[in-house]
Parts: sequence; C-alpha cells; structure tokens
Amino acid sequence: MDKQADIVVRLQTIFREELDLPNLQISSHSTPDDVDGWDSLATIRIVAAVEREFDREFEAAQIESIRSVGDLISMIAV
Amino acid sequence: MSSPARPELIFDHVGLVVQDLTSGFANVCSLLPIVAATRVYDDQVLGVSVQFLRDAGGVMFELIAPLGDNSPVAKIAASGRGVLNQIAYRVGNLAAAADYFRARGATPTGAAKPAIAFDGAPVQFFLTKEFVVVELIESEGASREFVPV
Repeated sequence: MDKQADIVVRLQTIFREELDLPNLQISSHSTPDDVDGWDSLATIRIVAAVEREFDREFEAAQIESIRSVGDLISMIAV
Repeated sequence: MSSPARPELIFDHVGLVVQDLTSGFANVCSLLPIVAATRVYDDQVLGVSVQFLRDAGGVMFELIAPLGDNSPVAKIAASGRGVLNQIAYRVGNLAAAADYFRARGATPTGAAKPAIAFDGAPVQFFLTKEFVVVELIESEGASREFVPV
C-alpha cells in the first residue's frame, strides 16, 4: 500500500468514528457538501483526531483552509 | 519545557446558533428571562450575524445566525446539532492564551480574526478535548450597548 492509500484508509476510520457513519466511503475528492454531518464542528473534531493519529500539530491557518479530504491528505503527507 | 501558565480568563457569553436572528430573538426572549439586548452585528469576515442578550441574572448570551453562503454555522443552524455552540472568555493577550489552550490539547478552528461585535478585537475559537468550543476574545471589556427589551 502506498503512502497516500495508507493515509486515506486511516482517515476513513477517523471519519467513520467522528461522523458516526460506519459504512462511509471517502476519497480525496470528498467535501463537506457530499458527506452527511460534515459541518464546521466535525471538521475540528476530525482534525483533532488526525493530529492524534498521525502525531502532528497543524497551524491554525492550515486547519482553516481545509475544504476536502484531499486538503487533509496534503497536510499529513508533508 | 514547562507549560505556559493559565492566562486570566474572564467569562463573556454563551453562544447559541439560531437559524435567523428575528425568530431566534423572539423565541429566546419568550422562554428565558432576557432583560436587555444589543443591536445586531453583521460580520462578513466571520460569516455570522450576532446579537447579544442579557438575562435577569446577568448571564450574557450571543445569538449567532448564518451570514452568507459559506457561513461556518450554516450547517449547524440547519441541522440543530451543536446549537449550544460556544463559551466565550475575554483575555488580555490572545496569542499567549492560544498557546495555553494548544498546549492543553485544544484545537483551533482557524486563525485569529477581528470581530465587529468587539470593535475589531481579534477572536479565535478552539475545540477542547471535551468537544466544547471556547471563543477567546482579546479585549479588556466590551463596549456593546444594551437596551431594555
């Protein structure tokens, strides 16, 4: 499994837990507009979980710029 | 390395998200002992319209309604999830308070921004580990003018 695929798998686990959607399928193109329950509060819960999962701490401006799963992947992969 | 000391945090208000301020104001005033209110502040930068209310016990509420297509509270207002939205505190130094919150596991929702309702004073929001949103306002005291309702 390549690095991006591994990130997506781990992100999918986080999204499923934070949004309480056990069958949710995400891709790098997923956005709040096409994922049920993904609102601004959910974004921050997801970011907090991502920071724990990947042992990272993002800048406030980075967090604010998240518009898609792809944005999260880019932040993690740096 | 030692953790930053806790800054002085002065309670300011509880934020409630409503679908619109007209009906939200009427509903809250009919239910709670609201005695005074401010004017409405439309804040294009934060994407919200807000109005502050004070109850008979001196507790301050902020009604928050979506403003614009990309308002951060649009989905919350529509879904009803998370409408008891935030607890706000005033601080003397936002950067220092932000460091303190970050060091204790709170996650910023974004960078600090000026807020019209606080005369352009910077505000920043954090989600605590208990999933409580805390707004920090760099202001010694608000100049909001209340009138009886």
